[in-house]
Amino acid sequence: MARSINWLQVSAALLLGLFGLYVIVQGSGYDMGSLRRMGPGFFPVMIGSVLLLFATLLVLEVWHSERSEEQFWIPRPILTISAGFVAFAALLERAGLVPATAALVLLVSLAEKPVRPVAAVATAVGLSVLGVLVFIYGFGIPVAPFEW
Amino acid sequence: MDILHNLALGAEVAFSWQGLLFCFVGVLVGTFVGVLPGIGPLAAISLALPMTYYLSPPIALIMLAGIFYGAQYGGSIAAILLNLPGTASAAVTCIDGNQMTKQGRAGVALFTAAISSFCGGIVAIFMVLGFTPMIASFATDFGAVDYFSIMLLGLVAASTLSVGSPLKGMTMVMLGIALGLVGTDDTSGTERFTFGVLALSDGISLVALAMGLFGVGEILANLGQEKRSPLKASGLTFKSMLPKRHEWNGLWKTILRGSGIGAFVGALPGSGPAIAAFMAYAAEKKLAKNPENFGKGEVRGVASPESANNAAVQAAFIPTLSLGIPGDAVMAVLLGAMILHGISPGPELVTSNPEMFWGLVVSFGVGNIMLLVLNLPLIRVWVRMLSIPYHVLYPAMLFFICIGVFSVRSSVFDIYTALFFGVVGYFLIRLKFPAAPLLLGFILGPMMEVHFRRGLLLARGDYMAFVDSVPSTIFLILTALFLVLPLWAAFRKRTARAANLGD
Repeated sequence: MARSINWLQVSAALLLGLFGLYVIVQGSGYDMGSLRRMGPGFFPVMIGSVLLLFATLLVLEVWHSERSEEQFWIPRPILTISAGFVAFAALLERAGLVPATAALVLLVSLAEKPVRPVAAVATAVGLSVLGVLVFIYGFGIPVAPFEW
Repeated sequence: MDILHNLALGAEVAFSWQGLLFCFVGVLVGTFVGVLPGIGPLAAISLALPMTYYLSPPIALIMLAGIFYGAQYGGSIAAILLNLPGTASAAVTCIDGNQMTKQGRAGVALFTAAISSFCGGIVAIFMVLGFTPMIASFATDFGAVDYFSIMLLGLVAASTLSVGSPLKGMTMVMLGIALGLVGTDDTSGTERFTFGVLALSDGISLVALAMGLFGVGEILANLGQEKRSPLKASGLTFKSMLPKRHEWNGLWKTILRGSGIGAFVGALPGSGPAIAAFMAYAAEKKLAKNPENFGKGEVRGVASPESANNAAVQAAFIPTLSLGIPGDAVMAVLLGAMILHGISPGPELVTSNPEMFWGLVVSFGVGNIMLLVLNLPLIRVWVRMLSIPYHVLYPAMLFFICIGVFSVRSSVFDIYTALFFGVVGYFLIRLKFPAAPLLLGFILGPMMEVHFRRGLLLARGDYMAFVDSVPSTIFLILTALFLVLPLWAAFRKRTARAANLGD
């Protein structure tokens, strides 16, 4: 029985191999030095080579492996959580912790269906209060609750 | 007596009000994340890491360690009641524990789990007390080559002993080491792989990497899954938890065996509590007069893995504290915590920071007693935790991840780093690439490079230095064994399958 090629696993292994190759190329741009007195380039080239070797072996291992990846691509959670993180990072120092927290919680709450607006708003309010009390007044992180 | 003097020193730290308070906070948080499926001790420890900057190093370690072993207690609760392992190491407990719940004996299972975990912890504490100073004094003569070889052994053991493909584990280790290269090279001051980004000149943030892989990645994987079944609240009273006399007969032998196996396996580099629990369960089944009862609600099937996993967690501190070499990813993060607190891990730790080592060991005892109290009379509180809806839980977790990552070095860039590794971590989970070896490689990689370069510098560039030293040679032979064994196993499986097909 001929089994089909598991492209998902193979491409993951290939990607790792490409990364290894990149580490070798970029690493060889640094000073290699000698065995006695190694430069900053020696170890990266070594690591990149082993990574490339393992990734190549991995391509062979997973070539015909059984496919068990269901629901691999989940755009909704990935996109909403990414949006939440970007919003938090962008707002934190510009608008303050409270707007950043609210944006994060409301955006990531869209990740799951059904969306529960009441619970999301309540969580956002609760976490904002907690964040201001614990992290700003407690630990003194260098961020204001609101930036005007 | 020397040891009494040292224990007194440790007690001074562990019984200070800070020691007691943060030990309690640690085990409480640990039980909490252990109970909740989907957050493991790793995510919780990375989360708590930035908050420990405000504490003295021994107190910080006491709290972080408390999370680790507290999670082992909590993990059994979800395993027994919901058939969902709260932590990976509780997966074995599911087998018999959940069967007991279906037979209406959930109370007995929970009681046995708590008592077994406690005994496992106590046995392992004595191992830590006995072996750590001994191994450390043995290791003071270690040179750079020996350190390089033992780290290599740890990495290879960790990736080949984990569940799933050993080759995938090894590849993840190399990826971790490669990610650890980012930043300024200590020896020459050259910036490597930073793309001119200022925030990367100190390297990728350990907390951002760990929280991304194990926090955000897990949450994404959970969101992509089918809904979990709600918990049926059962009439759980303290009285229903007490086992009958015949169930209790001879159980202490099981617990002792489990503790012994757990403590031994946990002390080996590369093996974690999950492997210890699995091995203890397998051994117990083999020794039992009635192996057919296992899997059908046998009390010993709960006692054995639970004593083993908690013993393994405590014993895992032996290589970390005596050699500075973490056995698994959680210990690697704890090691990272020590480094961030300015403590250099290694054989000198026991003598140079005695209050740290002895304080930690005494706090293990204190923490295990606290956990016993938290888990027996207060079990209903934890059971109620299981009913917190996920749509409240995951936004809260993401918030703590964001602010936790930021607060480490007040860097907005690290929030993006956490997001990036979160998405990477999700795909790794889906593709069954283990992320724990990646983290281990990330933490050990820079240390390995330093020892590798120093070793060859001292040997004037002669590779033979790695086999000239006796400890290094032993470690390299063991490493080779760990590499060959899975290959041999795969070969035998393939020939067996070929033989089967031939029939």
